[in-house]
Amino acid sequence: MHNFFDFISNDIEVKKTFLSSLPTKTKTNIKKYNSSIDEFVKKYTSYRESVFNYIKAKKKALNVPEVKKDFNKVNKKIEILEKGRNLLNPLNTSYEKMGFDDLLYRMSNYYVFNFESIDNLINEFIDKFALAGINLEAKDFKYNYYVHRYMDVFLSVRAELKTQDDLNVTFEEIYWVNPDIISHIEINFRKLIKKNMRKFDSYIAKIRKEYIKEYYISSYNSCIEKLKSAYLEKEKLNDEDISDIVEKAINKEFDISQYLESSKFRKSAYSSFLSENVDINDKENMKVICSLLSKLSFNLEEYEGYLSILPIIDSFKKEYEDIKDKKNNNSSELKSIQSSIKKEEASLAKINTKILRGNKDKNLKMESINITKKLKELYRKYDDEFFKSRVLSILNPNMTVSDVLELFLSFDYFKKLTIQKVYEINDYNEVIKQSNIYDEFAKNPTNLIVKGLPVFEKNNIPRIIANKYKLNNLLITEEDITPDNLDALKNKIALITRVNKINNSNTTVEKIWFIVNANKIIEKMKAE
Amino acid sequence: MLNEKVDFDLSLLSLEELIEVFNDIDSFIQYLIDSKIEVEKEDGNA
Repeated sequence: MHNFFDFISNDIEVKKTFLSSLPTKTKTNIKKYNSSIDEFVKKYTSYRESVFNYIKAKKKALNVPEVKKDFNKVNKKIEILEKGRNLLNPLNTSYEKMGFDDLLYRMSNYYVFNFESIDNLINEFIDKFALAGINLEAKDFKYNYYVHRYMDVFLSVRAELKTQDDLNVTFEEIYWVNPDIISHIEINFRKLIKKNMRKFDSYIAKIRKEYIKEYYISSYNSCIEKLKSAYLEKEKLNDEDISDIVEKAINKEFDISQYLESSKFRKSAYSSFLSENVDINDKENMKVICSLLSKLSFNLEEYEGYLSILPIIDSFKKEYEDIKDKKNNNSSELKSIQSSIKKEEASLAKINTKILRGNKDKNLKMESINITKKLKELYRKYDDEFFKSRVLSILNPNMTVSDVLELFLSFDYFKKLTIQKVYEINDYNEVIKQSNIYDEFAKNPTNLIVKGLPVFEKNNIPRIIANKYKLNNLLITEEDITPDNLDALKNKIALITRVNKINNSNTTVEKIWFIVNANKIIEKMKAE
Repeated sequence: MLNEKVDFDLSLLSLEELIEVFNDIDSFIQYLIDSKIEVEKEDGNA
Protein backbone atom coordinates (compact mmCIF):
# COMPACT_ATOMS: atom_id res chain seq x y z
CA MET A 1 0.00 0.00 0.00
CA HIS A 2 1.37 3.35 -1.05
CA ASN A 3 1.11 6.39 1.10
CA PHE A 4 -0.25 9.62 -0.26
CA PHE A 5 3.17 11.13 -0.85
CA ASP A 6 4.29 8.23 -3.03
CA PHE A 7 0.95 8.25 -4.81
CA ILE A 8 1.19 11.92 -5.74
CA SER A 9 4.81 11.67 -6.89
CA ASN A 10 3.86 8.85 -9.17
CA ASP A 11 0.52 10.22 -10.32
CA ILE A 12 2.04 13.53 -11.40
CA GLU A 13 4.53 11.71 -13.62
CA VAL A 14 1.81 9.52 -15.08
CA LYS A 15 -0.40 12.48 -15.86
CA LYS A 16 2.43 14.46 -17.41
CA THR A 17 3.23 11.50 -19.64
CA PHE A 18 -0.41 11.11 -20.52
CA LEU A 19 -0.80 14.78 -21.49
CA SER A 20 2.33 14.77 -23.56
CA SER A 21 0.98 11.81 -25.52
CA LEU A 22 -2.28 13.57 -26.48
CA PRO A 23 -2.52 14.96 -30.02
CA THR A 24 -2.99 18.75 -30.20
CA LYS A 25 -3.09 19.45 -33.93
CA THR A 26 -6.79 20.03 -34.43
CA LYS A 27 -9.40 22.06 -32.64
CA THR A 28 -11.05 18.91 -31.40
CA ASN A 29 -7.71 17.56 -30.17
CA ILE A 30 -7.09 20.78 -28.31
CA LYS A 31 -10.56 20.71 -26.83
CA LYS A 32 -10.02 17.17 -25.53
CA TYR A 33 -6.55 18.07 -24.28
CA ASN A 34 -7.80 21.12 -22.37
CA SER A 35 -10.67 19.13 -20.99
CA SER A 36 -8.23 16.59 -19.51
CA ILE A 37 -6.26 19.42 -18.00
CA ASP A 38 -9.41 20.88 -16.45
CA GLU A 39 -10.25 17.49 -14.98
CA PHE A 40 -6.78 17.14 -13.49
CA VAL A 41 -6.81 20.70 -12.16
CA LYS A 42 -10.10 20.02 -10.43
CA LYS A 43 -8.80 16.82 -8.86
CA TYR A 44 -5.53 18.33 -7.73
CA THR A 45 -7.19 21.46 -6.39
CA SER A 46 -9.24 19.26 -4.12
CA TYR A 47 -6.08 17.37 -3.04
CA ARG A 48 -4.40 20.69 -2.34
CA GLU A 49 -7.29 21.84 -0.20
CA SER A 50 -7.23 18.65 1.88
CA VAL A 51 -3.49 18.83 2.44
CA PHE A 52 -3.69 22.55 3.20
CA ASN A 53 -6.36 22.01 5.86
CA TYR A 54 -4.33 19.22 7.39
CA ILE A 55 -1.17 21.36 7.43
CA LYS A 56 -3.06 24.18 9.14
CA ALA A 57 -4.37 21.84 11.82
CA LYS A 58 -0.97 20.24 12.30
CA LYS A 59 0.72 23.64 12.64
CA LYS A 60 -1.84 24.66 15.23
CA ALA A 61 -1.16 21.48 17.20
CA LEU A 62 2.63 22.03 17.08
CA ASN A 63 2.57 25.74 17.83
CA VAL A 64 4.70 26.93 20.70
CA PRO A 65 2.76 29.33 22.90
CA GLU A 66 4.25 32.79 23.13
CA VAL A 67 5.63 33.79 26.49
CA LYS A 68 4.88 37.43 27.05
CA LYS A 69 7.83 39.34 28.38
CA ASP A 70 7.36 42.56 30.25
CA PHE A 71 10.31 44.89 29.89
CA ASN A 72 8.53 47.88 31.44
CA LYS A 73 9.67 47.23 34.99
CA VAL A 74 13.34 46.72 34.16
CA ASN A 75 13.38 49.61 31.66
CA LYS A 76 11.94 51.90 34.30
CA LYS A 77 14.60 50.72 36.75
CA ILE A 78 17.34 51.49 34.23
CA GLU A 79 15.85 54.92 33.50
CA ILE A 80 15.91 55.84 37.19
CA LEU A 81 19.45 54.55 37.65
CA GLU A 82 20.70 56.42 34.56
CA LYS A 83 19.34 59.58 36.17
CA GLY A 84 21.39 58.70 39.24
CA ARG A 85 24.45 58.02 37.09
CA ASN A 86 24.17 61.56 35.75
CA LEU A 87 23.51 63.24 39.10
CA LEU A 88 26.19 61.37 41.04
CA ASN A 89 28.93 61.45 38.37
CA PRO A 90 32.08 62.70 40.14
CA LEU A 91 33.82 63.65 36.88
CA ASN A 92 31.62 66.40 35.54
CA THR A 93 30.04 69.56 36.91
CA SER A 94 26.57 71.03 37.24
CA TYR A 95 27.06 72.49 33.80
CA GLU A 96 27.02 69.03 32.21
CA LYS A 97 24.44 67.68 34.67
CA MET A 98 22.04 70.47 33.68
CA GLY A 99 22.50 69.43 30.05
CA PHE A 100 23.96 72.77 28.95
CA ASP A 101 26.71 71.02 27.00
CA ASP A 102 24.13 69.29 24.82
CA LEU A 103 22.20 72.55 24.27
CA LEU A 104 25.38 74.45 23.40
CA TYR A 105 26.46 71.78 20.94
CA ARG A 106 23.09 71.99 19.23
CA MET A 107 23.21 75.77 19.20
CA SER A 108 26.69 75.79 17.68
CA ASN A 109 25.23 73.66 14.87
CA TYR A 110 22.31 76.05 14.36
CA TYR A 111 22.82 76.20 10.60
CA VAL A 112 21.39 72.70 10.24
CA PHE A 113 18.18 73.62 12.00
CA ASN A 114 15.27 75.69 10.86
CA PHE A 115 14.21 78.92 12.51
CA GLU A 116 11.54 77.31 14.69
CA SER A 117 14.07 74.87 16.11
CA ILE A 118 16.36 77.75 17.10
CA ASP A 119 13.49 79.32 18.99
CA ASN A 120 12.80 76.00 20.71
CA LEU A 121 16.48 75.77 21.62
CA ILE A 122 16.45 79.24 23.16
CA ASN A 123 13.30 78.30 25.07
CA GLU A 124 15.04 75.18 26.38
CA PHE A 125 17.88 77.35 27.71
CA ILE A 126 15.45 79.69 29.42
CA ASP A 127 13.51 76.73 30.89
CA LYS A 128 16.67 75.26 32.38
CA PHE A 129 17.46 78.56 34.06
CA ALA A 130 13.91 78.62 35.40
CA LEU A 131 14.42 75.16 36.95
CA ALA A 132 17.17 76.66 39.06
CA GLY A 133 14.92 79.56 40.03
CA ILE A 134 16.49 82.06 37.59
CA ASN A 135 14.01 84.13 35.67
CA LEU A 136 15.80 85.55 32.63
CA GLU A 137 14.81 89.00 31.44
CA ALA A 138 15.76 91.26 28.54
CA LYS A 139 18.35 93.01 30.73
CA ASP A 140 20.27 89.72 30.98
CA PHE A 141 20.84 89.77 27.22
CA LYS A 142 23.10 92.76 26.70
CA TYR A 143 26.06 90.93 25.27
CA ASN A 144 25.87 93.19 22.29
CA TYR A 145 23.36 95.50 20.76
CA TYR A 146 21.93 92.90 18.38
CA VAL A 147 21.57 90.15 20.97
CA HIS A 148 19.71 92.57 23.18
CA ARG A 149 17.37 93.60 20.38
CA TYR A 150 16.55 90.06 19.38
CA MET A 151 16.12 88.67 22.88
CA ASP A 152 14.02 91.62 23.96
CA VAL A 153 11.49 90.76 21.24
CA PHE A 154 11.92 87.01 21.87
CA LEU A 155 11.02 87.34 25.53
CA SER A 156 8.07 89.55 24.64
CA VAL A 157 6.81 86.88 22.26
CA ARG A 158 7.33 84.29 25.02
CA ALA A 159 5.23 86.46 27.35
CA GLU A 160 2.67 86.81 24.56
CA LEU A 161 3.14 90.56 24.42
CA LYS A 162 4.36 90.43 20.82
CA THR A 163 3.83 88.01 17.94
CA GLN A 164 6.00 85.54 16.10
CA ASP A 165 5.83 87.85 13.09
CA ASP A 166 7.47 90.62 15.14
CA LEU A 167 10.30 88.21 15.94
CA ASN A 168 10.69 87.17 12.29
CA VAL A 169 10.90 90.81 11.21
CA THR A 170 13.48 91.59 13.91
CA PHE A 171 15.58 88.62 12.87
CA GLU A 172 15.47 89.70 9.23
CA GLU A 173 16.66 93.18 10.16
CA ILE A 174 19.48 91.96 12.37
CA TYR A 175 20.74 89.06 10.30
CA TRP A 176 22.05 91.01 7.30
CA VAL A 177 24.04 93.30 9.56
CA ASN A 178 25.15 90.58 11.92
CA PRO A 179 24.95 87.09 10.37
CA ASP A 180 26.57 85.65 13.50
CA ILE A 181 23.65 86.69 15.70
CA ILE A 182 22.91 83.15 16.82
CA SER A 183 26.53 82.51 17.84
CA HIS A 184 26.36 85.74 19.82
CA ILE A 185 23.20 84.60 21.59
CA GLU A 186 25.08 81.39 22.36
CA ILE A 187 27.91 83.31 24.03
CA ASN A 188 25.46 85.43 25.95
CA PHE A 189 24.02 82.21 27.37
CA ARG A 190 27.54 80.99 28.18
CA LYS A 191 28.17 84.14 30.15
CA LEU A 192 24.86 83.79 31.98
CA ILE A 193 25.63 80.17 32.81
CA LYS A 194 29.02 81.16 34.20
CA LYS A 195 27.48 84.00 36.19
CA ASN A 196 24.83 81.74 37.73
CA MET A 197 26.98 78.65 38.26
CA ARG A 198 26.50 78.73 42.03
CA LYS A 199 22.73 78.62 41.60
CA PHE A 200 23.03 75.66 39.25
CA ASP A 201 25.31 73.95 41.78
CA SER A 202 22.66 74.48 44.46
CA TYR A 203 19.90 73.23 42.22
CA ILE A 204 21.81 70.08 41.29
CA ALA A 205 22.74 69.52 44.95
CA LYS A 206 19.07 69.81 45.85
CA ILE A 207 17.79 67.31 43.28
CA ARG A 208 20.70 64.99 44.06
CA LYS A 209 19.69 65.06 47.73
CA GLU A 210 16.07 64.33 46.73
CA TYR A 211 17.20 61.48 44.50
CA ILE A 212 19.33 59.91 47.24
CA LYS A 213 16.43 60.17 49.67
CA GLU A 214 13.92 58.69 47.25
CA TYR A 215 16.00 55.86 45.87
CA TYR A 216 18.50 55.11 48.69
CA ILE A 217 21.44 55.32 46.31
CA SER A 218 24.10 57.53 47.82
CA SER A 219 27.18 56.92 45.74
CA TYR A 220 28.14 56.79 42.09
CA ASN A 221 29.71 53.36 42.49
CA SER A 222 26.67 51.85 44.15
CA CYS A 223 24.54 53.33 41.36
CA ILE A 224 26.74 51.66 38.75
CA GLU A 225 26.52 48.35 40.64
CA LYS A 226 22.74 48.56 40.65
CA LEU A 227 22.77 49.48 36.95
CA LYS A 228 24.86 46.41 36.27
CA SER A 229 22.27 44.22 38.01
CA ALA A 230 19.47 45.87 36.04
CA TYR A 231 21.30 45.35 32.73
CA LEU A 232 21.88 41.70 33.63
CA GLU A 233 18.22 41.34 34.53
CA LYS A 234 17.26 42.83 31.16
CA GLU A 235 19.68 40.52 29.37
CA LYS A 236 18.13 37.53 31.09
CA LEU A 237 14.66 38.67 29.96
CA ASN A 238 16.03 39.12 26.47
CA ASP A 239 17.41 35.60 26.48
CA GLU A 240 15.70 33.63 23.74
CA ASP A 241 13.11 31.09 24.73
CA ILE A 242 11.60 28.55 22.36
CA SER A 243 8.80 30.85 21.24
CA ASP A 244 11.40 33.54 20.42
CA ILE A 245 13.36 31.00 18.38
CA VAL A 246 10.23 29.98 16.47
CA GLU A 247 9.30 33.60 15.83
CA LYS A 248 12.79 34.43 14.57
CA ALA A 249 12.73 31.38 12.31
CA ILE A 250 9.37 32.44 10.87
CA ASN A 251 10.69 35.98 10.33
CA LYS A 252 13.72 34.55 8.52
CA GLU A 253 16.19 35.99 11.02
CA PHE A 254 17.95 32.70 10.56
CA ASP A 255 17.48 29.70 8.26
CA ILE A 256 15.92 26.85 10.22
CA SER A 257 16.89 24.31 7.57
CA GLN A 258 20.53 24.93 8.57
CA TYR A 259 19.60 23.63 12.03
CA LEU A 260 18.47 20.20 10.80
CA GLU A 261 20.74 17.30 11.69
CA SER A 262 21.45 16.61 8.03
CA SER A 263 22.68 20.16 7.41
CA LYS A 264 26.36 20.65 6.58
CA PHE A 265 26.22 24.10 8.16
CA ARG A 266 25.12 22.59 11.46
CA LYS A 267 27.91 20.04 11.37
CA SER A 268 30.49 22.73 10.63
CA ALA A 269 29.15 24.95 13.46
CA TYR A 270 29.73 22.19 16.00
CA SER A 271 33.13 21.27 14.63
CA SER A 272 34.18 24.95 14.69
CA PHE A 273 34.10 24.95 18.47
CA LEU A 274 34.02 21.35 19.66
CA SER A 275 36.54 18.59 19.10
CA GLU A 276 35.34 15.21 17.82
CA ASN A 277 35.68 13.67 21.28
CA VAL A 278 32.92 15.82 22.68
CA ASP A 279 29.66 13.93 23.07
CA ILE A 280 27.06 16.42 21.86
CA ASN A 281 24.29 14.12 23.03
CA ASP A 282 25.40 14.34 26.64
CA LYS A 283 22.94 16.86 28.10
CA GLU A 284 25.00 17.83 31.12
CA ASN A 285 28.07 18.35 29.02
CA MET A 286 26.19 20.43 26.44
CA LYS A 287 24.73 22.56 29.24
CA VAL A 288 28.24 23.55 30.33
CA ILE A 289 29.39 24.05 26.74
CA CYS A 290 26.41 26.23 25.86
CA SER A 291 26.96 28.34 28.94
CA LEU A 292 30.57 28.91 27.81
CA LEU A 293 29.47 29.67 24.26
CA SER A 294 26.96 32.23 25.52
CA LYS A 295 29.73 33.97 27.44
CA LEU A 296 31.92 33.86 24.33
CA SER A 297 29.13 35.39 22.28
CA PHE A 298 28.79 38.13 24.88
CA ASN A 299 32.52 38.83 24.68
CA LEU A 300 32.34 38.97 20.88
CA GLU A 301 29.49 41.49 21.12
CA GLU A 302 31.60 43.61 23.43
CA TYR A 303 34.55 43.37 21.03
CA GLU A 304 32.31 44.42 18.16
CA GLY A 305 31.06 47.42 20.17
CA TYR A 306 34.62 48.34 21.10
CA LEU A 307 35.67 48.30 17.44
CA SER A 308 32.86 50.71 16.59
CA ILE A 309 34.22 53.35 19.01
CA LEU A 310 37.90 52.55 18.72
CA PRO A 311 38.68 55.71 16.67
CA ILE A 312 37.66 57.80 19.70
CA ILE A 313 39.91 55.82 22.04
CA ASP A 314 42.78 56.04 19.56
CA SER A 315 42.34 59.80 19.29
CA PHE A 316 42.58 60.13 23.08
CA LYS A 317 45.63 57.90 23.17
CA LYS A 318 47.37 59.94 20.47
CA GLU A 319 46.70 63.22 22.27
CA TYR A 320 47.78 62.19 25.75
CA GLU A 321 50.35 59.44 25.16
CA ASP A 322 53.35 61.76 25.46
CA ILE A 323 52.31 63.37 28.71
CA LYS A 324 50.77 60.42 30.56
CA ASP A 325 53.85 59.92 32.74
CA LYS A 326 54.26 63.56 33.70
CA LYS A 327 52.61 65.59 36.38
CA ASN A 328 50.43 67.89 34.36
CA ASN A 329 48.46 70.91 35.20
CA ASN A 330 46.89 73.48 32.93
CA SER A 331 45.44 75.75 35.60
CA SER A 332 47.62 78.65 34.43
CA GLU A 333 46.27 78.36 30.86
CA LEU A 334 42.73 78.31 32.22
CA LYS A 335 43.37 81.37 34.36
CA SER A 336 44.93 83.22 31.45
CA ILE A 337 41.92 82.56 29.20
CA GLN A 338 39.52 83.53 31.95
CA SER A 339 41.30 86.83 32.40
CA SER A 340 41.24 87.48 28.62
CA ILE A 341 37.51 86.81 28.61
CA LYS A 342 37.04 89.17 31.52
CA LYS A 343 39.04 91.91 29.78
CA GLU A 344 37.19 91.59 26.47
CA GLU A 345 33.78 91.41 28.15
CA ALA A 346 34.61 94.59 30.06
CA SER A 347 35.45 96.38 26.76
CA LEU A 348 32.27 95.05 25.22
CA ALA A 349 30.18 96.18 28.17
CA LYS A 350 31.51 99.77 27.76
CA ILE A 351 30.62 99.82 24.07
CA ASN A 352 27.17 98.32 24.70
CA THR A 353 26.42 100.95 27.33
CA LYS A 354 27.21 103.72 24.80
CA ILE A 355 25.01 102.10 22.14
CA LEU A 356 22.12 101.50 24.48
CA ARG A 357 22.33 105.12 25.62
CA GLY A 358 21.60 106.20 22.05
CA ASN A 359 25.02 106.54 20.42
CA LYS A 360 24.34 105.95 16.72
CA ASP A 361 27.97 105.56 15.66
CA LYS A 362 28.05 102.61 13.21
CA ASN A 363 31.66 101.86 14.14
CA LEU A 364 30.62 101.13 17.70
CA LYS A 365 28.21 98.44 16.51
CA MET A 366 30.86 96.88 14.26
CA GLU A 367 33.36 96.98 17.11
CA SER A 368 30.87 95.14 19.35
CA ILE A 369 30.52 92.42 16.69
CA ASN A 370 34.30 92.08 16.40
CA ILE A 371 34.81 91.76 20.13
CA THR A 372 32.00 89.19 20.31
CA LYS A 373 33.79 87.15 17.63
CA LYS A 374 36.98 87.23 19.71
CA LEU A 375 35.03 86.16 22.78
CA LYS A 376 33.50 83.24 20.90
CA GLU A 377 37.00 81.96 20.19
CA LEU A 378 38.07 82.55 23.78
CA TYR A 379 35.12 80.59 25.14
CA ARG A 380 35.93 77.71 22.79
CA LYS A 381 39.52 77.74 24.01
CA TYR A 382 38.28 77.81 27.59
CA ASP A 383 36.06 74.79 26.91
CA ASP A 384 39.05 72.89 25.45
CA GLU A 385 41.26 73.73 28.40
CA PHE A 386 38.53 72.85 30.88
CA PHE A 387 38.07 69.41 29.36
CA LYS A 388 41.82 68.99 29.32
CA SER A 389 41.95 69.87 33.01
CA ARG A 390 39.44 67.09 33.75
CA VAL A 391 41.51 64.64 31.72
CA LEU A 392 44.71 65.69 33.46
CA SER A 393 43.09 65.20 36.85
CA ILE A 394 42.78 61.46 36.13
CA LEU A 395 45.53 60.93 33.56
CA ASN A 396 48.00 58.21 34.47
CA PRO A 397 49.90 55.50 32.57
CA ASN A 398 47.56 52.81 33.93
CA MET A 399 44.34 54.32 32.67
CA THR A 400 41.95 51.77 31.25
CA VAL A 401 39.71 51.99 28.21
CA SER A 402 36.81 52.00 30.66
CA ASP A 403 38.19 55.20 32.28
CA VAL A 404 38.33 56.91 28.88
CA LEU A 405 34.80 55.75 28.02
CA GLU A 406 33.56 57.35 31.26
CA LEU A 407 35.38 60.56 30.44
CA PHE A 408 33.70 61.07 27.08
CA LEU A 409 30.35 59.95 28.47
CA SER A 410 30.67 62.67 31.11
CA PHE A 411 31.44 65.44 28.62
CA ASP A 412 28.92 65.21 25.82
CA TYR A 413 30.15 68.31 23.98
CA PHE A 414 33.69 66.92 23.68
CA LYS A 415 32.49 63.52 22.76
CA LYS A 416 30.63 65.05 19.81
CA LEU A 417 33.55 67.27 18.79
CA THR A 418 35.85 64.24 18.88
CA ILE A 419 33.35 62.24 16.83
CA GLN A 420 33.27 65.01 14.22
CA LYS A 421 37.03 64.94 14.05
CA VAL A 422 37.80 61.20 14.08
CA TYR A 423 34.99 60.05 11.80
CA GLU A 424 35.42 63.12 9.60
CA ILE A 425 31.72 63.92 9.64
CA ASN A 426 30.08 67.31 9.71
CA ASP A 427 26.53 66.24 9.17
CA TYR A 428 24.70 66.86 12.46
CA ASN A 429 22.46 63.78 12.17
CA GLU A 430 25.48 61.58 11.48
CA VAL A 431 27.21 62.94 14.58
CA ILE A 432 24.15 62.19 16.71
CA LYS A 433 23.92 58.68 15.25
CA GLN A 434 27.57 58.01 16.07
CA SER A 435 27.12 59.57 19.51
CA ASN A 436 24.24 57.20 20.25
CA ILE A 437 26.34 54.23 19.15
CA TYR A 438 29.05 55.41 21.52
CA ASP A 439 26.64 55.88 24.43
CA GLU A 440 25.06 52.47 23.97
CA PHE A 441 28.45 50.82 24.29
CA ALA A 442 30.05 53.07 26.88
CA LYS A 443 27.05 53.08 29.22
CA ASN A 444 26.87 49.29 29.45
CA PRO A 445 28.10 48.43 32.94
CA THR A 446 28.33 44.73 32.09
CA ASN A 447 31.28 45.27 29.74
CA LEU A 448 34.12 43.06 30.94
CA ILE A 449 37.05 43.33 28.57
CA VAL A 450 37.40 47.13 28.51
CA LYS A 451 37.49 47.31 32.30
CA GLY A 452 40.94 45.80 32.45
CA LEU A 453 42.26 47.00 29.09
CA PRO A 454 45.10 49.53 29.48
CA VAL A 455 44.51 52.38 27.05
CA PHE A 456 48.18 53.23 26.48
CA GLU A 457 49.28 49.71 25.61
CA LYS A 458 48.90 47.68 22.48
CA ASN A 459 46.03 45.30 23.12
CA ASN A 460 45.21 42.11 21.29
CA ILE A 461 41.61 41.43 22.22
CA PRO A 462 41.14 38.46 19.88
CA ARG A 463 44.07 36.79 21.62
CA ILE A 464 42.71 37.62 25.07
CA ILE A 465 39.33 36.10 24.17
CA ALA A 466 40.69 33.05 22.34
CA ASN A 467 43.10 32.16 25.14
CA LYS A 468 40.38 32.29 27.73
CA TYR A 469 38.17 29.83 25.90
CA LYS A 470 41.01 27.56 24.87
CA LEU A 471 41.45 27.00 28.59
CA ASN A 472 37.87 25.73 28.55
CA ASN A 473 38.68 23.40 25.65
CA LEU A 474 36.77 25.31 23.01
CA LEU A 475 38.38 25.23 19.58
CA ILE A 476 38.86 28.89 18.90
CA THR A 477 41.90 30.81 17.76
CA GLU A 478 42.89 34.42 17.62
CA GLU A 479 42.73 34.18 13.82
CA ASP A 480 39.04 33.24 14.00
CA ILE A 481 38.17 36.47 15.81
CA THR A 482 38.48 39.05 13.04
CA PRO A 483 36.04 41.93 12.53
CA ASP A 484 34.76 40.35 9.30
CA ASN A 485 34.20 36.99 10.96
CA LEU A 486 32.36 38.12 14.08
CA ASP A 487 28.86 37.71 12.63
CA ALA A 488 29.64 34.23 11.34
CA LEU A 489 31.02 33.21 14.74
CA LYS A 490 27.98 34.58 16.55
CA ASN A 491 25.63 32.79 14.13
CA LYS A 492 27.39 29.48 14.75
CA ILE A 493 27.20 29.98 18.50
CA ALA A 494 23.51 30.86 18.16
CA LEU A 495 22.91 27.65 16.24
CA ILE A 496 24.49 25.46 18.91
CA THR A 497 22.80 27.19 21.84
CA ARG A 498 19.42 27.23 20.08
CA VAL A 499 19.60 23.56 19.09
CA ASN A 500 20.47 22.78 22.69
CA LYS A 501 17.46 24.74 23.95
CA ILE A 502 15.20 23.02 21.42
CA ASN A 503 16.52 19.58 22.38
CA ASN A 504 15.68 20.30 25.99
CA SER A 505 12.16 21.41 25.20
CA ASN A 506 8.89 19.82 24.10
CA THR A 507 9.52 20.53 20.46
CA THR A 508 12.17 19.55 17.92
CA VAL A 509 14.10 21.26 15.13
CA GLU A 510 12.02 19.30 12.59
CA LYS A 511 8.78 20.53 14.13
CA ILE A 512 9.99 24.14 14.03
CA TRP A 513 11.08 23.62 10.40
CA PHE A 514 7.55 22.38 9.70
CA ILE A 515 5.95 25.37 11.46
CA VAL A 516 8.08 27.77 9.40
CA ASN A 517 7.25 26.08 6.10
CA ALA A 518 3.59 25.64 6.98
CA ASN A 519 3.53 29.35 7.72
CA LYS A 520 4.96 30.11 4.28
CA ILE A 521 2.25 27.99 2.68
CA ILE A 522 -0.50 29.65 4.70
CA GLU A 523 0.75 33.12 3.75
CA LYS A 524 0.93 32.11 0.10
CA MET A 525 -2.61 30.74 0.08
CA LYS A 526 -3.87 33.91 1.80
CA ALA A 527 -2.33 36.02 -0.94
CA GLU A 528 -3.98 34.03 -3.75
CA MET B 1 -1.73 3.92 -13.95
CA LEU B 2 -1.15 2.07 -10.70
CA ASN B 3 -3.84 -0.23 -9.54
CA GLU B 4 -2.35 -0.56 -6.11
CA LYS B 5 -4.31 0.68 -3.15
CA VAL B 6 -3.47 4.12 -1.77
CA ASP B 7 -3.88 5.10 1.83
CA PHE B 8 -4.93 8.76 1.83
CA ASP B 9 -4.34 9.11 5.57
CA LEU B 10 -2.11 12.19 5.80
CA SER B 11 -1.08 11.35 9.36
CA LEU B 12 1.10 8.63 7.86
CA LEU B 13 3.33 11.23 6.25
CA SER B 14 6.36 12.73 7.93
CA LEU B 15 6.39 16.50 8.47
CA GLU B 16 8.84 16.88 5.61
CA GLU B 17 6.66 14.78 3.29
CA LEU B 18 3.60 16.86 4.15
CA ILE B 19 5.30 20.07 3.08
CA GLU B 20 6.80 18.46 0.03
CA VAL B 21 3.54 16.90 -1.14
CA PHE B 22 1.75 20.23 -0.84
CA ASN B 23 4.45 21.97 -2.85
CA ASP B 24 4.38 19.21 -5.48
CA ILE B 25 0.59 19.46 -5.82
CA ASP B 26 0.73 23.24 -5.99
CA SER B 27 3.47 23.21 -8.62
CA PHE B 28 1.60 20.62 -10.67
CA ILE B 29 -1.57 22.73 -10.67
CA GLN B 30 0.46 25.65 -11.99
CA TYR B 31 2.07 23.38 -14.56
CA LEU B 32 -1.37 22.24 -15.76
CA ILE B 33 -2.68 25.82 -16.03
CA ASP B 34 0.40 26.86 -17.98
CA SER B 35 0.01 23.83 -20.27
CA LYS B 36 -3.47 24.74 -21.52
CA ILE B 37 -3.60 25.58 -25.19
CA GLU B 38 -5.49 28.57 -26.50
CA VAL B 39 -7.91 27.68 -29.23
CA GLU B 40 -7.09 29.54 -32.48
CA LYS B 41 -9.85 31.10 -34.53
CA GLU B 42 -10.00 29.26 -37.86
CA ASP B 43 -9.51 25.94 -39.62
CA GLY B 44 -8.32 22.53 -38.56
CA ASN B 45 -10.29 19.40 -39.17
CA ALA B 46 -13.55 18.99 -37.37
